[in-house]
Amino acid sequence: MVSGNDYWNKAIIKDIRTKSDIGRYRVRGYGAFKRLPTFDDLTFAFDPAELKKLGPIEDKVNLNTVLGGRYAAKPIVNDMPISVSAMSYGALSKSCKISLAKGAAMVGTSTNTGEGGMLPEEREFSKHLIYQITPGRYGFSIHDLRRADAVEFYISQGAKPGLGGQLMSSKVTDELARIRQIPKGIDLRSPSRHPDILGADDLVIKIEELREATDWQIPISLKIGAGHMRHDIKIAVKDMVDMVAIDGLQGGTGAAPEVVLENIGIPSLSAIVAAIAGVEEMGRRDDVSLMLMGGIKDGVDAAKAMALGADAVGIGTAAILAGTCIACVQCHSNKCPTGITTHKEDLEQRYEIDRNAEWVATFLHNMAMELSAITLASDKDNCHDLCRSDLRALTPEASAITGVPMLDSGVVYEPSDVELPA
Amino acid sequence: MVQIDASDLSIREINRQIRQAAEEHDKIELLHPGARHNLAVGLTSDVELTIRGSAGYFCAGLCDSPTVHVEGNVGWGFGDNLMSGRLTVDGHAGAVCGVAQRAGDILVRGNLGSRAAQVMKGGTLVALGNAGYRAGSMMMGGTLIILGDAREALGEFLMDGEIYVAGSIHSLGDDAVEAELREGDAEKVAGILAQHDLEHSGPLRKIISDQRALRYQEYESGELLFGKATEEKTAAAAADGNRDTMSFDSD
Repeated sequence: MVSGNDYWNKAIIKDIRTKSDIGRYRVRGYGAFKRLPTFDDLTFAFDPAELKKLGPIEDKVNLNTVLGGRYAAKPIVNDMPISVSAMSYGALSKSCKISLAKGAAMVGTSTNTGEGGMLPEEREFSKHLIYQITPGRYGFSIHDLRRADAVEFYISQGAKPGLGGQLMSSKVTDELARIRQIPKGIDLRSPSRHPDILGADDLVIKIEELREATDWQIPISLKIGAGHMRHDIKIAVKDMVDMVAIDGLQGGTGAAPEVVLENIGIPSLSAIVAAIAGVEEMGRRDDVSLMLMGGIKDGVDAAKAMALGADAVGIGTAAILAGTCIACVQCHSNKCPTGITTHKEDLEQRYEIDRNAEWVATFLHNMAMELSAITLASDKDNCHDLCRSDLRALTPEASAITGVPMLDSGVVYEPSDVELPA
Repeated sequence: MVQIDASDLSIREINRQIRQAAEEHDKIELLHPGARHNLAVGLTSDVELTIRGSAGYFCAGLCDSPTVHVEGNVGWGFGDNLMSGRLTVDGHAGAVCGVAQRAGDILVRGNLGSRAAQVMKGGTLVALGNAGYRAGSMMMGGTLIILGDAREALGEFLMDGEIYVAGSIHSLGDDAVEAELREGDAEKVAGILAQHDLEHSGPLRKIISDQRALRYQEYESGELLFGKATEEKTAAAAADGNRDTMSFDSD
């Protein structure tokens, strides 16, 4: 039984008093904390006999991942289907951006600039760098575009679908203002939509502009904060992108209105199912690469996302937690005590770039090994061969969301209006 | 000077030929452009390109350095993200002309569609005609000069930069305010116009950011959710390189 003290706890009381004090929505960084359906609500239907055969797993599973080969002459080829997601210079310190670039490169995978422009050091240390074009176009440059390995057209993000980026003025340093070419002193909010596209018909022309500017060499991705995924994915396919990055509700952020962070969007588990249903309905599953982000915390989550249809996953929060993030939820304030999300010199000095890069690389490698183990236990040698029949649901809700049968009973709580692939 | 006839060429082939010609010639003429989209995208040399006709969306988008002269009209997003160079349109421009312009100079001899100079960060955009609604929306820098009239919500959520209007202003957007012309403003505008061999002798009105919006003043901190970060302990742990003792104590 929940007591009054449990329900009206300190955090709730502080939340109410803060709101009564500031008279507006609250702003914070990090991600959603509320209970949501997650990949933990699924498990794998391993054959115990296969598990017995498991020996050393290193190098036994093909993890190579090709992203964005639909029209691009040079798709991204990563050594694993796990990448570091978009986090901007601004949301993160320069030291942290460099560290993530180094860490991802150590294990042969890609990272992403986020919305704050491309740091020269980030380009230097990245193996594959995806360059984001966002509604605010901060520091966007044709020259950086041509230095990128892919370009990602940001529609929205899981932490705040429908809103643009947000950066509090305390984090807008001289250097950051210069790189983004923005005024100092304002709490920066990006436009919620791109100025030059109002819909799918404009977007296809915009995509062509990026193709022409890069001579059709690099992949073009579309990043979508999960909402109407089953329909949005169809627009993406028709608008000729090579790849779609789907960001679920659990996706983290440097700053967002808390009410949006916690309540708007759909969980990553639902998002990938809806996206796959959309492309299957079109009969065009193979046209685009699908990357899922938002709350992915280990290689098991990655395996489950891929079994549901994702080609790859991205990690953001987990990547910084692999280093020295202590989850103090001060990301928006420029007071990050570990130097990850601050631009204060004394705090940023606490962040050891190379040590954190090693932690990130080790964690990514560990995720890849977990994914490999599950692939082998499912009697496969290619992680991209994982499929829905490898999964079982632990809760009726997860079964209803995914159409995956319940563990033991085999009952399927199938969504009535989604025709799912085998 | 070299001529490229776009009549029977794909956009990809037109742009390929323009880029190749720009490496070998100082001046290029594009004939029969057919108002197609994405013409002359991504030019990064100081070539002079004349488009003898009209262009569609994103003409001269994502450019750095060129001089582009369009003899007809242009569609949406003319000069998108211009980093330097000079772009001129003899006719009218569609919506979001000069969107995300970072530097360089754009002149439109006719009218501007809606939301010209949206998220502009630097450089100059001059229109001899009128501007559609929300011109200068979310501008972060640069100078927009409208020698005709301005429609609704001029300077909506203007963050920085300046807008000068010679004609009437239907209405100002949120956080835009009319300011007195300061010493040097008229000379600044005259200097920008002179680059295009233009003059203006009548009165001008100046619009700037009222600097009310997008200012939260103070932030509530995340500690309200979980308690206080123990600053000294974390600093000491960071100095030791021991992340396990970096802590976040819950109160």
